[in-house]
Amino acid sequence: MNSARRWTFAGWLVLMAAAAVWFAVALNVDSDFSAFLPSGASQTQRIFTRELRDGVTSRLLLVELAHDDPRNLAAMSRAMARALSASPEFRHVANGEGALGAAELSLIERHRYQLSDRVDASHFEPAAMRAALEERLEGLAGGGGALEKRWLASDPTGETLHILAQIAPPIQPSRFDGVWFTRDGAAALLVAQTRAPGWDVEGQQRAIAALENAFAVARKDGAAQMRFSSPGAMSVASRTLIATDVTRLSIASIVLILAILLWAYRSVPVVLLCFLPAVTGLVAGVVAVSAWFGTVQGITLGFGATLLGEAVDYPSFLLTQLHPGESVSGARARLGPTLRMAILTTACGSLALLFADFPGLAQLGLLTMVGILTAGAMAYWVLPLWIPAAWVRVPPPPPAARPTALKLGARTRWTIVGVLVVVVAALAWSRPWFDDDVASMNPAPATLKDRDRELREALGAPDVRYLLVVSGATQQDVLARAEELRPELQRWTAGGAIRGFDLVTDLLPSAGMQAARQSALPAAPQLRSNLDVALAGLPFRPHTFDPFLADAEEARSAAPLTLQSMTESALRFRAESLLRHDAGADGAGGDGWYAVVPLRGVTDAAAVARAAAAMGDAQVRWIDLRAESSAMMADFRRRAMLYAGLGALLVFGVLAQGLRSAPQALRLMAPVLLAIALTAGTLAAVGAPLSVLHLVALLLVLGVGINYALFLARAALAREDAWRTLRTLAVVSGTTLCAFGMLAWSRIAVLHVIGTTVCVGVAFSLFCCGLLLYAREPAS
Amino acid sequence: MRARPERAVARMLLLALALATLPVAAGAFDMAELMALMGRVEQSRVAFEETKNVAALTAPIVRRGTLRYVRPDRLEMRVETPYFERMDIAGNVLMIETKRGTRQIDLAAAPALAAWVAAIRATLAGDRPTLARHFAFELSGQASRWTLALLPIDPALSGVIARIAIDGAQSQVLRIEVDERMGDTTVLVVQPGTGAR
Repeated sequence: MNSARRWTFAGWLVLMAAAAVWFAVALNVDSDFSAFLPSGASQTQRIFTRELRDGVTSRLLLVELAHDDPRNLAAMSRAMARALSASPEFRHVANGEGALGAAELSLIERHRYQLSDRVDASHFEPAAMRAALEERLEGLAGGGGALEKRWLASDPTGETLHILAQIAPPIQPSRFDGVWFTRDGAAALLVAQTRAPGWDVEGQQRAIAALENAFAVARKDGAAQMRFSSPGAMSVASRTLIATDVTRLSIASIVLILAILLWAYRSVPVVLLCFLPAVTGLVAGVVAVSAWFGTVQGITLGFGATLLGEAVDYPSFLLTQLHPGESVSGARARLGPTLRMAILTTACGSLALLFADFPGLAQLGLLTMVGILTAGAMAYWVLPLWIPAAWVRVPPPPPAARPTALKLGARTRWTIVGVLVVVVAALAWSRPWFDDDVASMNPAPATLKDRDRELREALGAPDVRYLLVVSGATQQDVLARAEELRPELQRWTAGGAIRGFDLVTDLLPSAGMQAARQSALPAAPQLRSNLDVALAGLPFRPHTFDPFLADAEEARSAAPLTLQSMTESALRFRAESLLRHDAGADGAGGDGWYAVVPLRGVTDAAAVARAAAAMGDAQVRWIDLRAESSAMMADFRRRAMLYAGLGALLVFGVLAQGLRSAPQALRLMAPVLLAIALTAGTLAAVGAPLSVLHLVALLLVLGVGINYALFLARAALAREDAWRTLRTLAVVSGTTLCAFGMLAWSRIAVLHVIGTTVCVGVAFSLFCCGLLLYAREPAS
Repeated sequence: MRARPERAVARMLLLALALATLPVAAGAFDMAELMALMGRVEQSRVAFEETKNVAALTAPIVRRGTLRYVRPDRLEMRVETPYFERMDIAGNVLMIETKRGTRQIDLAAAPALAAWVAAIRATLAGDRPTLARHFAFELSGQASRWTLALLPIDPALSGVIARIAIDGAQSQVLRIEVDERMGDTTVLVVQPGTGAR
C-alpha cells in the first residue's frame, strides 16, 4: 500500500512537471473573444466575424480630454496627436487639425483628375469650362471667397473641392482652437487607430500604455483628465476587471468551501487533497486542448474551469460516506458504481460538444471531457491510495438521527411539480426566452459600454449597422462593380432613405476608370484653346491658370493610383478598411475580394433592403449587422442546444447501461431535466433570457443534478446510509452554491450569469430530486 | 472785445485741465466699454458697399447690399449686385442662398468660417468671450471713433486671414476691412445715413 502510494505520487508529480513544461513551451492562450463565435459558414458570416475581429472599428480608440481650460486642452490635444502619430502602436491619429493631413490633401490634389467622377470628355469643353470659371468668379466674390482661393489657379474646375466634399464625413465634431471639441466646448476629442487589431489584447494594452504616457507628458502638472474607449480598451479593462473580480470572489469562495470541507472532514491534508482531482483535471484538459487545437481560447479556459467545478465534489462523495473504521478504498468498493456513473455521465454530456463545428464549443467539450475523466480517475483510483482512513475524522451519525424519506403520495408530489411548472411557465410566458444579442457575450461592464456610446456620439462616429458588400474575384473586379453602385446610392441619399455612404471607389477608382478619366483630359494645345475660349470676357488676369494647364498635362500620363502608391496615409487606411481580401471566398480554396459600403443614417432599412435586392446582382449584398449577429448567435445557441440535447441522450445511455434499466434511468433523469426547465423558465421570468452562457451553466447543472439524483436514489434504497448521503449532499451542494453564489456577485455580466444560473439550477435540482427520488408512499 | 486777464487764466486752466484729463478719458474707452455700448443695440440694418481686391482678377469686385443684425445671434448679409447672394446665420447654422440654390453649413464643423462670422457677429453683439475665443484684439481710438483690430488665433483662419479691422463710431459699425495672407483685401463700407434703426 505504502509503495503504491509512493509510486502513484511520483507518477503524478512527473505528469504535472511534464504539463508544466508543456505550458511553458507550447501553451498559447488566445484572448480573442470573437473566436468563440462560429467560424462562419457563409461569406456574410465570415465578413461579419472578420469585421468584428480586425475591422477598422475594432481598432478605433476614442479619447476625451476634459477638466481644464479649453485652450490648455487644445494644446494638449495637439501635443498628444503629435506624440501618438510618432508612436509605433498607432497608424493614424486625428484630432481635427485639418480634417485631412497635408499628406492626404496633396495626394488627392495630385490625383484629382483620376479621382473625380466628374471628369469625362465634355468636362473640359469650352462651355463646361466657362461655367466652371463663372462659378469660381462668383465664389471669389462671395462670402467665403477667401477660403476658395487655394485651388483657383491649379484647379479652376474645382475637382479637389469636389472630391473632398464627396469623401468628407457628413457629421463632424465641433472645433475650438483648431481641434475637435464636444459641442459644449468642455472636452477635446481625438481618434486614434491602433496598429494592433481589436482582438489582440496584448497589442491593445501596449497602445493604451502609449496613450497614457502621451497624456501624462502632455498634461505635465495640469488638472486635465482623460477618458478613452475602444473595443480593445474594453477588452483590456474587462480583462483587468475580470482578474480582480475573479481573485476577490475566488478567495471568498475558497474560504467558504474550505470552511465547509473542514467542518466535514476535520483534517487539513484531506481538504487540500480534495482539490487535487479538479486541479489535475483542469491541467490535463488544457494540455489536451492545446495539443489538439494548437491554442486555448481564454473563454474556454474560464468556462472549462466552471464545468470542472463539479470535480471538486468527487472526493466528497467518497469521504463523507465513510463508515467507522472503513478505509477509503472500502467506501469506494461500496459506492463505486454510483460514483462511476456520476463521472461518466458528465464526461458523456460534454462528449457531444466535441463534435460542434464551433471552435469554442469543441474546445470546451474536449477540455471538460478530458478534465472530468482525469479528475474522476484521480478521485476513484488515486485518492483512496493517498488518504488513510485515519486522516478523515468524519463524525458518525448521531444515534437519534434516523432520516426517513418524505412521506408524500405520488399524487401530492406530482401536484407540487405541476403547480411549480404552471407558476413558472405563467410568469415566463410573455417574456423572451432567448437572448441572441452578441453584446451579451461582451464581458465589458455596462459603465464602459455607456462611455463608449457617449464618445461615439460626441465624435459623430456611430456604430455602423447596415452595409452593402460587393464581392468579386479580383480587386479590380470589385472596384469596377462598386463604381457602378454610386448612382443608386445617390438616389437613396436623395430620397432620404439613407443619409450617406462610404464608397471605396471615391478614394480608389478602378484602374479602368482612372485610365478613362485620364484619356478624357484634352492634350495641352487643345486644353489651352478651350480655356482661352472660356476665359473670353472674364476678368481673370492672363496666365492665372498656367498651373492648371501644366497639372492637366502631367495628369494625362500619371501612373494609376493604387493602394500601394497611397503609402502610409489616412486615405490608404480608409481604403483598406473598405476594400478587403477574403481568403476562401469562393468556397473552393481560391480567394477573392470584397468591398464594404457602410450606409449611414439609414431611416428606412426595409426600403433599402428591397432596393438592394431589386438590383438583382449576386455580387452585391445587403447586410444588417445586428440582425446578422443575432442570427449567428441564435444559430450558435440552437446548435449548442442540439449538442447539449445529444449529450443528455448519451447521459441517458450511460445511466440505462449502469442501472441496467431504461425506466430507472428515465426516473433518475426526469427530476434533473425538470429542474433545468424550471431554471430556464425562472431566468426568463425575471428578465434574464437565455444566451449561450446560460447553456454552459445549465450543462453544469445537468452534470451536478445527475450526481444528486444518483446519490439520492441510492440513499432511498440503502436506508442505513441515508443520513450519510444527506450529509454528502449538504457538503457538495454547499460547496457548489458557495462557489457560484460568489460569482453571482460579480460585476462582470458573464460571471454573474453563470453564477446565478448554477445557483438557481442547483437549488431546483435538490428540490426536484428530493421530491421525486427521496420520497415514498405514506404507510397506509 | 477785450478779455479780462483773470478770465484768460481761468480759460487756460480749464484747457489745461481738459488736456490733462483727455488721455485718461481716452484710456477709459476700453474693450469693456465698447462691448457694453454694442450690447445695447437690439437690432441694426445698414446698406453697404464692399470692394474686393483679388490678385487673380483684372479689376476689383464691388458688391452692394444690406447687413442686418438681430440680437442675440442672427446675422444676415444680403448682396444684390453683381450676383445675388444671401447669407443667413442663426446660431451655429450658416445658410447660403445663391441663384444656384441653397446650402447649409454647420459652423461648428467649419472653423475658418465660424471665426469669420464671429468677427462681425460677436462685435455687433458685444460678445467679448466669443471674440476672445477666436481673436487677439486691440482697440484704439475713442467712443466717438474707434478701431478694433482682430488677429485670428485659430490656425484654420490665421492661415488665410491676417487681420480684420472694424471701424466704428459709438455703437455704429462704419467699416470692416479683411486683409488676407496672400495680399488680397476686402473693404466693406457702411453707406452713410443708413444706420437708422
